[in-house]
Amino acid sequence: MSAKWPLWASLAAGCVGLAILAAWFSKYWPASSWQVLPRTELIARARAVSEHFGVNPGNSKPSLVVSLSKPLANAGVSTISPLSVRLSWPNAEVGLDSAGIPLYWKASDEAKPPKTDPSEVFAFLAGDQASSFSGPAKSMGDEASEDQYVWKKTPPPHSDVRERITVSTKDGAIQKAERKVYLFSEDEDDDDSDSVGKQAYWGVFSAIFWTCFTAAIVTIFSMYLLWSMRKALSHRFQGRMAIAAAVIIAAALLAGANADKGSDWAELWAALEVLCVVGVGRAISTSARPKWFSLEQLCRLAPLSKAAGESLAAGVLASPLLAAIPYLIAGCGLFPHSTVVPQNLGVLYSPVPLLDTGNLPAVLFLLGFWGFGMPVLARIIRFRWLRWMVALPLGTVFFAYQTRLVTGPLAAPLTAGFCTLALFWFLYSRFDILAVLTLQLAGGVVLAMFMLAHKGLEIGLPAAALLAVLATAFRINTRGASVSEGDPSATNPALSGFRAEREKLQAEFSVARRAQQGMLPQSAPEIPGYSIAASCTPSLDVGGDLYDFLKLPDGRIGIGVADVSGKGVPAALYMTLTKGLLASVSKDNSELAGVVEEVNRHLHGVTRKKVFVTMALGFLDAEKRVLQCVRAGHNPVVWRQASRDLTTLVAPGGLGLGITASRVFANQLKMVELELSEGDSVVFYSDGITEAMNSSLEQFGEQRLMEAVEKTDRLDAAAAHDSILSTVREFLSGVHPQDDMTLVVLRVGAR
Amino acid sequence: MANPFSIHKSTEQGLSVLSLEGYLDAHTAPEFEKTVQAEFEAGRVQQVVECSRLSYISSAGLGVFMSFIEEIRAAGGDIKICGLAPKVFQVFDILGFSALFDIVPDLPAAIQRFQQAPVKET
Repeated sequence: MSAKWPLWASLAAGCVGLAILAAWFSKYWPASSWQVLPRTELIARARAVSEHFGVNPGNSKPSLVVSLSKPLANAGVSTISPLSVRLSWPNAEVGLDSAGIPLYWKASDEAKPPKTDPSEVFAFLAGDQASSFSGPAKSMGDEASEDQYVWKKTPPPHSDVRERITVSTKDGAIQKAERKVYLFSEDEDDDDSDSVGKQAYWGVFSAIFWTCFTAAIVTIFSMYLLWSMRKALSHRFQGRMAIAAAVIIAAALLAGANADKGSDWAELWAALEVLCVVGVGRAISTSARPKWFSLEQLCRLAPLSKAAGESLAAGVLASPLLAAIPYLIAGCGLFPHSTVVPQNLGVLYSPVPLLDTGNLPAVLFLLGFWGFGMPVLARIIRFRWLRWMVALPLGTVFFAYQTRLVTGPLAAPLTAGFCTLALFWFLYSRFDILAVLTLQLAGGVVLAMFMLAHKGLEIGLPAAALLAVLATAFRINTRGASVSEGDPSATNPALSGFRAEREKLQAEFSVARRAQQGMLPQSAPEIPGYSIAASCTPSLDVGGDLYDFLKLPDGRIGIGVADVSGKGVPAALYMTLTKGLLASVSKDNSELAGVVEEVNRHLHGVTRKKVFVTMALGFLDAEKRVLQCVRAGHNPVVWRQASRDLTTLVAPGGLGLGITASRVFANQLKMVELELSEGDSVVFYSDGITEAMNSSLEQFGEQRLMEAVEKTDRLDAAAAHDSILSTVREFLSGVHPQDDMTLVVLRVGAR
Repeated sequence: MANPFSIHKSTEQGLSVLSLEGYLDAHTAPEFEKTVQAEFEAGRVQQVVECSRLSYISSAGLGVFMSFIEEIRAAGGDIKICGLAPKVFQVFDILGFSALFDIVPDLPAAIQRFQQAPVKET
């Protein structure tokens, strides 16, 4: 709980975001100049329009769809607002622009509208602009009884904006009337050629993009599978993979084909395919689990852990900055030609503004990127700097394309993509996926609040929602369950197949881990005039490191640290063997070199040829204050003589155990005697400490270890031990140790 | 994928020279083991392991040297190690390998050592 700074950083980011929005929102919001009527007013006007045409829609609530014409918004049309609203009743449909100007009316067949003169309809729709229209041009409809009248507005010179009013009648009764504003392109007869052309272009682009994206994901995924399993896959599994790949590729192609219909299908398909990949990736990926844990608990309606509270809070606190990114780009002055892309305008008319801020495809994209992409990258590329170098450009382009926050020269969307990536990255690395998703959703809500407030509409609901989430977050943080990834209580026993098998194995490993940790001394021996502290932290579930304290026949105390070559289960087995040998040999032998030679002889007899054990062993005569030391191929012991302010590495010669049983071993084994005095400390450790590597590939090394020991002069063994370990952890700054870390500190006190 | 490691094989005055490059750890040790095994089975028992481009060796890597040395010496051959960077040498030295193996500065010295002492005297 000490690491609260990321929460403060999130709060600071949020405040910066609020400041940016306060300064630049109204200036750069693309819809700021449009008049927007409140929802109730709009419904009243639509009802009046329908009544004007002779159809009373009744008092039922209409369904309401908001749409935005981005070409018109970008062209800066001033006669009507690019934001239009369509309200539907059972017997009539009315379209209005956001300022309430009638644009569209259509009656159902049952409505039986009265006969009306088309010119009167035209005059009603054109309003005070009627004089600038010419027409009508009359044409026949599909049936003889249907007629169509078209008026066109004379365009001002050098303008791409065209306007037309169409009235359709059947037996003289008005069926449909529409006022349409559109952009002119090469061919005036083909009204929609401009937008259709653009959409087709986007369709091709989308198809190419998604096929590449999918192919890349499938490739990475298969490589990951092959690499992680390291054995031939079963035919059945291969078959399933092939089906999954086919489904995904088909989805990508469909997405591309659907994109030209101008619908959200493309994104939905893409999102679905990402979800498929995430689902499968999630099932086998182990490194992603901790980042998924909170979300998993949330989906299972299980009690959330305390950490989940922090994730929720961080997501909400930082969200104003996410909302502010496009305004930062537009307002900072670096990209004078960039404009903010209008988004989420439906919120202005939604009865529940909250629901209109959710963006399903974006959420699924985030799951795909952070939940699958990043963990896979982390598994493939071990070096953090290299991972950054790959992930940064990829992520920047990904977020620039996926979010499309700003238009303008390429640098502007790329910068926006980079800022978005950075913000998400912060929340992902310091918290988890729950924080990432909260940020996305809360960001939408914040933006909605600014939109509503700017137009003088009610913001109570979204504001209350944000506050409620914050309050819940803090409640979870104080009262939440203390569960974490890996707790048996936090996982569902009714799991099946591959995952259940793996979790069973994991459970067995945690038993093995506890058994192995149980073999280590539960407490250090109490020796008058000395204090001892020790720990052993395996890098994997089980490890090959060992420390032990021995009671020797002559009354001396043995202190030993050993390290078996290799890692994991084989090393753990030899570790238990070494521990047993050491205990049994020292039961009736107090001669240091003799003990070590006998352990070597036994180990050489049983170990496989390439396995060896290194050991540092000291026999302490507590009365005489003499520590006899040998080093069987192990890291030198650190001897700190506080009174002389001297730190030395004690490195007598000696071969690793189990390498050779010949006389070479005995010949090489040298023994030293340390004459201890008050304030001295002797530190035994394994190479997991000195070879601990940080993200810049530096090793902790003996020099840093000696300096860390020097800083503990006035501390007792336990405090010194903790201080040294925390120095190592600080050095690692979050990198998971690659090797087991063992540390034993002996402190000489007053007699 | 994670850590680059490669072995370059060559022959120098009838000796088999294995040049190691990169990271020799638990993941890459099997590759090294296979190469030494193949050389041994082909009857090339006089081997020089050239390590000037070896940046890291773990205990699993050291284990490979141990696993063949007795058989190779029994067959009248030896493994001489040369070109160790100071950091890598330290790992060999801590374990006491300098008492078990001939560790020399460079390839010519290794060739010379094979002429003087085909099998290290211990």
